[in-house]
Amino acid sequence: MNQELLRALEQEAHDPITAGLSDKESVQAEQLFASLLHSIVETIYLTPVHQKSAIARRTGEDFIRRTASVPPKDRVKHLSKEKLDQDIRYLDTQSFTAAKHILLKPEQRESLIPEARSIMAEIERLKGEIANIWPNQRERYERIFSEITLDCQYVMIPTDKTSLRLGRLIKAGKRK
Amino acid sequence: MLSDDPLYYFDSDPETDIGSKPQTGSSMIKESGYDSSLLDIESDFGGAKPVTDTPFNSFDETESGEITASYDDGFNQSEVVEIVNDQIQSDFGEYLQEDAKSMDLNTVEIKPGTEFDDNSQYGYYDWSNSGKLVVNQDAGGTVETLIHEGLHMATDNGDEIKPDGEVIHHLGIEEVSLDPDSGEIQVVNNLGLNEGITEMFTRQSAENMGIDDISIAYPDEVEVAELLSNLVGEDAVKEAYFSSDVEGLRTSVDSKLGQGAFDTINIFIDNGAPYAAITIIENGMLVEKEDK
Repeated sequence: MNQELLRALEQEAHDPITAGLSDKESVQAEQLFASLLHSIVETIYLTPVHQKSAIARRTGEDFIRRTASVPPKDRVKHLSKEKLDQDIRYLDTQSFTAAKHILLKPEQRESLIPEARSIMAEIERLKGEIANIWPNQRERYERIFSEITLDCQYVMIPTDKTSLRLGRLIKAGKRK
Repeated sequence: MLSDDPLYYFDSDPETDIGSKPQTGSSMIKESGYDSSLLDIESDFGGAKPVTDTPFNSFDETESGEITASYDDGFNQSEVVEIVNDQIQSDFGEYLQEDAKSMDLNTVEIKPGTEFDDNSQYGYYDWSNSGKLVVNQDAGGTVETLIHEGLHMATDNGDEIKPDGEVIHHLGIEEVSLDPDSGEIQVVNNLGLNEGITEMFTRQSAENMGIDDISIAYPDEVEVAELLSNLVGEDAVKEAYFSSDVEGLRTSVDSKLGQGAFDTINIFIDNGAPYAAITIIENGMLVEKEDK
């Protein structure tokens, strides 16, 4: 069902997404769009809610509509930025999930250290990408990177320093 | 929602079947990368600009002349904290609970970046010092961080003990279920939307303080918070947020979007699916035959 939905959405997207683009741009746009669409739909199917199929379909249709509404000259760079945001969003979610997991089950630290290291490596790589290609945007993401880094450090090594978001949770659990 | 499944999928094949693992992480990122020829993207980002310097100097120029928290002069931490507290009171005082907490130097410390392991870190909680909030004065966005954390403190509405003994700690609209005996966290609900609302109000206060280059946090959550605020009205969001009236906000949202919408939106946000949350807000709850 997922694969059928993805194929249907990709077919539906082809004309509106590539309208007004050169052949090269069309390839880039479709590649980026497909990558984003797969990630969006998969995340919905992994989320514990009812009506996943209907929500995934409508979300995919909305994503097609929003993307197609971007002027052709801006569409590929818009999708590039969407992909960067999506990649950071994924690492953000994973790092916080890992930190919460260690907060509850510190004895499982060893099993999560490789993942935390991978996230840190990806963040460093993304920082480098942003510094190289969007140098004037780097500071825009620093607050997010700061939280991700602190969460990963909390997972990797026992420490007294936590991210702001994890610290708030710990405070909530402290008895007055 | 706390996950019991610590899988991160970094080694997954980009062509992996969709039903198994998310196609995200490093494999997804490396698959297509970013084309440097496409990167004249400054105008795309819209909204706030990146922060390039500390905003403390702006405090010297307020009308009252009472603010002396100049960074150049070696600012006074307590004055900075007091200024932020006053701004929160000014902007949201009518919604704050009578016993709302505010920041002071027992709970907050502002340090230069040289005292951080990584001087790009914005701040952390220091559990070697009773969980003190430590904020980097040189990272940019210092005032925004203080406002954001100050709002969290002001909306920490404490524990509620349910008739069945369940303990819920209320942080704005975030609900943290705790073990009644140990205080151990069991379930966290509405975390992402609470962050979005907090940051939405942070940006409002920062703008009211004259800060032009507002740093970014929780962009997806803010977008969802703003859409919900447009849907039910900002007053309704403020009333729910500052008094932890989750049921009131749930009723307002569900009356507009269908039963279960509020909880579904929150689950999507907390699971990294903001597009789906936005789709629910824009379309209402959706029905399909196989899920009935």
